[in-house]
Amino acid sequence: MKVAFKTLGDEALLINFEQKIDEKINKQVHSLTQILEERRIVGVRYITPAYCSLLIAFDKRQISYKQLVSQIRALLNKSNISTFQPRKLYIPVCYDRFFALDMAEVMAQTQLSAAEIVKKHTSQTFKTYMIGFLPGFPYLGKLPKELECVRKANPRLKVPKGAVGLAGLQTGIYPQESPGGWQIIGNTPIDLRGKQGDHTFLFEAGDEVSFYSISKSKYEAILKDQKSGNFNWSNVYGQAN
Amino acid sequence: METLIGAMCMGKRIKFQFTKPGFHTLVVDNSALGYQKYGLPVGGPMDELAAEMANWLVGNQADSPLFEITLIGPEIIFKEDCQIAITGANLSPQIDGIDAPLYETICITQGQNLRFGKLISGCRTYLAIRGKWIQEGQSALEKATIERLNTINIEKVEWFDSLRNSERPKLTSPVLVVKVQKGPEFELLSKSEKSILFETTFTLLQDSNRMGYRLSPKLPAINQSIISSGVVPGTLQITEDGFPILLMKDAPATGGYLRALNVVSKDLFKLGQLKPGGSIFFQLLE
Repeated sequence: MKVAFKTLGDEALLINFEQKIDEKINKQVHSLTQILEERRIVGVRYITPAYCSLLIAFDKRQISYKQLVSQIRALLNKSNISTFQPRKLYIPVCYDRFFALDMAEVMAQTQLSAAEIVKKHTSQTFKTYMIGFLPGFPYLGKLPKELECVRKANPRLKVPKGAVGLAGLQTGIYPQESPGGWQIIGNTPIDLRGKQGDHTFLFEAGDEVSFYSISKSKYEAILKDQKSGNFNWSNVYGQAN
Repeated sequence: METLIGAMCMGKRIKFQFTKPGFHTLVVDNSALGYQKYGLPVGGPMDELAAEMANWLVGNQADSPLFEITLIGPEIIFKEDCQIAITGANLSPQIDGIDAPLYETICITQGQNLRFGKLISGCRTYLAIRGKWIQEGQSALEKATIERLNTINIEKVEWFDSLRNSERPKLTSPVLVVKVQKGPEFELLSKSEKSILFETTFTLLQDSNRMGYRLSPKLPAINQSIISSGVVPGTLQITEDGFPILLMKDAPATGGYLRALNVVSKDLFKLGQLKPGGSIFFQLLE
């Protein structure tokens, strides 16, 4: 595997894979992340995986740049780098007009009907290329070419929590209310902060994701079940409805 | 705003009360470290050295939570005896109307109040309180997004003799010179753009905060970006329009702008005391 090592100052190492948005390359990033997390190399403070790069922040009092690079070279030379097994997540989305704030604009850009847009959005498995922008915000791709649309010229000041949006060949979910420029076509009742009382986030980079359409009353029901703690999370982590 | 904060002293619960919150008062710590793959900022004190010294002065661990106070201070009434230390920017602290020392351990008696006044140097003051901090029901996400003042508990540990140290470091130079290394995309810049970075005294603009410092002047438009990739506090990004942005502790974990430079780790803390209008000069460390 060809990678380039670079520095970000004296306490961060950047591993650049081939610089393009590509599922295979992204999988290698997540494999290496997983291996590094299992290794728990002393001195590593945190790891930030992205589309085709991986950043490792380290404490130079505990490990030197050279030591870290040589350890990573050794890991890369092993053949088990692509053993990464992604999880599969199933996310319910209500595409009702009430939530699909930018459906008209997306219809105009894509020349598709609302029903066709929903069908294309729900009939494909997406990859989680990375988490960023907001804590827990998943960058999912790639969208079919037909759904490609540009970001809003004027970003919205308040995109609601749970909003599902499109931008370029990507789709994503807002984990919290935030300003943002993605074209909003629906909303998920699922709290991206994971299970109640569990402090991890729902999405991890590398996850495979598919969406399914729900009614507004089902949306309300799921919201209520999460609040009361009766929500069946295996619907998200395992079997789709 | 009134905020009561609980603490434990010899088995007894004590409290201190924020009768004024100040301009921007935060509890900062390093508990978000490791969550960057979920997109969380690194967080933590902007001036790590001042924060560590404050904690040392009250016998806490160097990375214990403490208050970061920016530009305008809060007013605090201590409801029980406790031990505190104030470091970083000189915000003219007073205890019961009498000037309080910086970089010293201060013993507080029940009912005393701490106030701050005119900003004399720096930008951020640190207030450490002796004891073990207990944080209830806070996820890393909540920490990154919610004002945290309401949910902090402090458990007091036993007393030790107070330290004496009246020396305090000062930022006297009108221009803050920081050492930098070339960033991953440095070579994508033209020769003239590179020389601007090292020959210009940049000014910190008003809309700078814990996420990032916006610097002036801007460079010519570079019309280049990268596929989103990791960044760290101290990364100097150049936007497509040529605006330099120096990322700080609450920056997103990833970014799509060119990473031109990185401030070296031992100079990073100095940036925490730079306030809008301040000057900064980059010195390349080969």
